[in-house]
Amino acid sequence: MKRRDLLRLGRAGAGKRYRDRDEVDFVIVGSGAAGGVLARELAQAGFSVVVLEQGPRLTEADFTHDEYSRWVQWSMGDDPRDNGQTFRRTESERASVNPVAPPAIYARTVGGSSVHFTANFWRFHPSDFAEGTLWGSVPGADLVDWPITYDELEPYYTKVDWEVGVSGRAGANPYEPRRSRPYPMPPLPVKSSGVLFEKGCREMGWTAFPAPMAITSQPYRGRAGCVHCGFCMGFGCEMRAKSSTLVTMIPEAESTGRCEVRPESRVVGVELDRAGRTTGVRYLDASRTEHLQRGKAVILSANGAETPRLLFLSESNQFPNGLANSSGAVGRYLMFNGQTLVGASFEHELNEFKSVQVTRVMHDFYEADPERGFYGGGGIDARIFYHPMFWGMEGFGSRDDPWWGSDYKKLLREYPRSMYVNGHTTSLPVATNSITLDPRVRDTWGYPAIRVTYRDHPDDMSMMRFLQDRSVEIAEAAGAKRVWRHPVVEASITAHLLGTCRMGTDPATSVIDPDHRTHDVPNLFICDGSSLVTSGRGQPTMTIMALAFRAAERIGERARRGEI
Amino acid sequence: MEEPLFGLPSRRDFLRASGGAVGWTVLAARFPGAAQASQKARRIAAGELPPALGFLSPSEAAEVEALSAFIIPTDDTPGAVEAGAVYFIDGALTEFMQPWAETFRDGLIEFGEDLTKTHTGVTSISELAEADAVAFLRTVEDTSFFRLCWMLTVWGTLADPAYGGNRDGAGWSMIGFEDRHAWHPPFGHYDADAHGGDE
Repeated sequence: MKRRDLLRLGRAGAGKRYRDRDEVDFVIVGSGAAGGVLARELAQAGFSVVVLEQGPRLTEADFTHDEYSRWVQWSMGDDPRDNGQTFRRTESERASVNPVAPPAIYARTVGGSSVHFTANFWRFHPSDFAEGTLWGSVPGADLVDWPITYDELEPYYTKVDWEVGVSGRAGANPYEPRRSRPYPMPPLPVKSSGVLFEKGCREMGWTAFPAPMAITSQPYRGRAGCVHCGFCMGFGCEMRAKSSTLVTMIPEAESTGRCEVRPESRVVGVELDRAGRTTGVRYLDASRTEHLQRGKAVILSANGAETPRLLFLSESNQFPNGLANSSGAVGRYLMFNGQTLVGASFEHELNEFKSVQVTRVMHDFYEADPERGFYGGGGIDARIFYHPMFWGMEGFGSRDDPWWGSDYKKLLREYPRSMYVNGHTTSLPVATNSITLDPRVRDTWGYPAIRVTYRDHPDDMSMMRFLQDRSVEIAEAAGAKRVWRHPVVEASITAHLLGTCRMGTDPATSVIDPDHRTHDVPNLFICDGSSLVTSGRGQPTMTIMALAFRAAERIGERARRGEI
Repeated sequence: MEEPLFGLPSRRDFLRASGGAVGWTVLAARFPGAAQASQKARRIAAGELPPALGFLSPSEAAEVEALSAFIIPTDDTPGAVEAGAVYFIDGALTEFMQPWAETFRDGLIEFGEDLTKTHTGVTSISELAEADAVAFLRTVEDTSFFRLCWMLTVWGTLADPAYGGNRDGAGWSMIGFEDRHAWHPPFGHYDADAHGGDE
């Protein structure tokens, strides 16, 4: 078979084809981190599955290193023109189309945002699941325990490590939670940023460890090892080395002969019968013709912005406030994760544009500590943060630094000698931070646009400032010649969309039960970033995937017992 | 806060927004109309067409190029002029920024008028001695026109050469970046001795 034919096959997908009127066992909305895992697990367990993905099926043949195409032409199907998303800081404001960027950024393509993620794969710690108890209440937030524990999720984290493919070194992180197996691959080779970060941490009495990354450090399960091209963050991997669901779970789902992944299928409503059960979903194909895909059960894995939006679009007499929203929690408790940036330049070249974005991480400030005087925790890594175009735009200085002329050019030329110390922090679940439908703005398809309402909790801001101070200490202890801070500000855009259909045992305060079944509709399930009860410390994808492995097992068991 | 004309944020806004999760997308998102690749620019970059202007007149292009030379000057390494940033800018105004093209032209005219007002008889920034030119530009650096010129100059120097600027990768080599599909450790000075173990 010629390469061209192989590529065409890869683009179309090799799976089974169903007709809309075929009542499949499961209709899954979204093919990203959660949808891809659920499709593979349920298809391998013998169920018939249709995955509806709103974006096209891009493959490695479509991926480039072209920043202009990626961020100006929005080559990952994330053109904000289509979205019409709006943003406001508080519920009393009228939201407007964000003049700077779409507030909720996600890739619309088969594999979803797992295609363009940076691939940092930290597990949550046991405390992440129990901070309602460990920390207690925080004014202005609803910090509660998860209904499941780290120990219940641990086997599924291990599945992510081995079946999706994660590189790392077990035991290197002194704060590492219990793990039942080591990593399947050694860490990726350390970069100069990692060596310097290690030095800075050591000087400060802290511990850097090899970054766990969902990128192959050697050939793994039929995929090549990473060739260190340097374009992970925001870009699709041309080598299939990044462990997106596009190159891991989805081909395995399709090869069962029971799963169809149907691209360019934009779901606009969940159907409900008089008994209060879902019968399938309505979607628009590429020509905007509406179809109804029938299914015995529906799983929403559309992400923490699109899933609540779909529930609101599916309101009915039975559910006037949005489907499965008797609790009123749909769309609420949106969490972005905080992020801080400290730049540092050194005497010699680091060449951070080579290889994966991160090779060293530290978790010394992961746990919340009452002595700090506020709730929060985080991790810090060392990385490249800007490719050349945006390095030139905003990469290397504070607002007081030269921004044109020969002094600007001098700073531009620090590119190979610079790195970033990047902090990742908690966001508290705040009821008024939310995804809702905008009452005025519509998307290209004529449906109400996503409206994001978000203001960081004061403790979130305090934690960001705290971690930025620690980042400066690391950079200085590493021997940087110049250190600069990017301002810590209230966030208005994010690629982390968490908490908007939170899991819980009480139907009055949560949307899904611990098995991801909605409290209100017995054959409607939700599994994606919206399921998270707390935000973790900034790297949510691995936990979303672990939840999806667990959800698939629980949902599959119920289906086999005839309990759906 | 500066008045954002053309719907453009000030540089301060870029910096403020970069505190968000994905700072580098901030500016790009300002141009959601940029869906069409610059086909002509691609062909010029590929050597299939000679560099040619689509929107700017030759004298306007000369002034924009002179301005770009103050933003990223040429010294012992290439600057915006060697990178051909003006061709990227012209292509942008022909295509994805076409809706703002006339506003850009008005800004350029106003820039010239301000210049003549403060320096009698002078019609181009290139007529001034360097120190005088820089001093004048300091007085207009907060205008939307200058900021737009700045942004497009940076892009025209550092974006993929396929779009008409960054000719032969001149901007990339100036900052010390090289685009390759594969690298091998060691990557830099500080990891030179680090590659013996399991990584």
